[in-house]
Amino acid sequence: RAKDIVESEQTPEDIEEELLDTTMVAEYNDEIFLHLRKKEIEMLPVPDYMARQSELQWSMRSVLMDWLVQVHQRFNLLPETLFLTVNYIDRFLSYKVVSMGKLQLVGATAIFIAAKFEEITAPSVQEIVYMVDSGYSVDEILKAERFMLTILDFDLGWPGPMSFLRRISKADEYDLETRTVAKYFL
Amino acid sequence: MENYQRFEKSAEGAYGYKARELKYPNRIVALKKARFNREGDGVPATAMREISLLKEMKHPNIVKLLNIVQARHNLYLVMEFLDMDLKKYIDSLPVSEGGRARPIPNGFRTRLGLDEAMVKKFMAQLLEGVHYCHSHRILHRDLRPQSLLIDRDGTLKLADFGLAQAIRIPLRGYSHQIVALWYRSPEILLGGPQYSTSVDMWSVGAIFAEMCTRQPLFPGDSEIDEIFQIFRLLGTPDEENWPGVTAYPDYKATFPKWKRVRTILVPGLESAGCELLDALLEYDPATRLSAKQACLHHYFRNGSSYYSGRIHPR
Repeated sequence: RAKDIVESEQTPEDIEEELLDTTMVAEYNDEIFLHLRKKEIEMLPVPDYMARQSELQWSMRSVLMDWLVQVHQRFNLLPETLFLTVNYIDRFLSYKVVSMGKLQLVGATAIFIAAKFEEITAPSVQEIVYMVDSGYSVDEILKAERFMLTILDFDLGWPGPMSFLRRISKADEYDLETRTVAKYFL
Repeated sequence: MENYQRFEKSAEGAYGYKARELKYPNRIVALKKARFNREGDGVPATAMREISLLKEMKHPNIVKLLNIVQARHNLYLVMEFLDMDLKKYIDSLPVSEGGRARPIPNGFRTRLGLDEAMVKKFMAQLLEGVHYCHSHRILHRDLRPQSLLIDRDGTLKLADFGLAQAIRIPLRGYSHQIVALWYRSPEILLGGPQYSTSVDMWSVGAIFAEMCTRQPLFPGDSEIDEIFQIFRLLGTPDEENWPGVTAYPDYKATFPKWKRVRTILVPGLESAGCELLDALLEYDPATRLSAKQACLHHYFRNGSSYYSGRIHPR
């Protein structure tokens, strides 16, 4: 296994350095990544949920994502927040049939929840209403928030791809080019 | 909420309202209320994180989340009921044992006291709970005696995950509005941009000392007073015992240079205990003892699980 190969080639200095590198929480890496992989699988959406949606199509999801990327950029949010948003939307749509007119509400609510979970300061509900061009009211978003949290059963800690990428690029000795390209693909 | 019947207000537990489940009247639970913020931001972020993180954790030393109930204006976390928190527990000790002889809840059949063996048991349970959090990438960020609950059999459980955060690896900057002042680590007090699992370990150290002496170790009344109380007791840190300390945003070259006077922080504590305490109150976050290492410390001669009651239930 790759892990054994890496471990057999580590010098005592490498190990020492890794232990001192608190920002990688090296000591708990094995346990944490085991846990993350488990969560990753538990929190997968249903892959073919679109087949069960009567009004929606994959192309509409793309349009929604383009809009969310803009919102995300506008608020200067962390990349993790965007990945969480996508996971919340896909999981929500795996369980609920949504009309075309409500799809943007699903997206807006998902990014509202994701930002609260992940960021130090999240956009307010008024800012979200502004971003949907007042297409939905404060009240609608807050209602949708409670509904979405119920459907997601408050399982919000999806690991997302960033942690795994960082782990791999550390093992890879941070090849900057590979890392930038990989980030772009994500 | 119609499934729960609240006890009278005086019967409040350590953790919100005490209530009884109507379907199973023998099941006593605690209801922790989070208010929906109508005009503002809906479900509070603290409640979201607390619920989502508690759902991930299953450990005998972490409080159990049993259910979530959404009422019209409030969200209720239904938790297992524990009678006391560690602060009340210490206050209920007789004056002769350093407490204030405050009344204990009826549920406690006997006083369990807080002798050396009990301190060791609580420490083992606390460390195993924290170890579990950290190995599931969760920082508690609010460890203090009030957030540790104690049941009638003397089992300690971590609660109050409202400030907890699922960390990302590697770490990035997180909020500094965390951890009650008395249990706040020096790297946060000095405005460090990043912090890690070691912030919880500092809190564990301060709690350890408080269990032994019944007095908070660093009861500062402001951030600067807190910093100076720490420096006065442990000596002002320098580049030697904390490489990089002078680069912290709130480090001042004009800080008074105290020398550590008391070598033993808690008189009467066995020497292995003193060593453990010193290792938890290590200035440099990178070398501060982790929960994983602390569970293996020789203060727990037979391994922490022996004292936490996991292997030999009393």
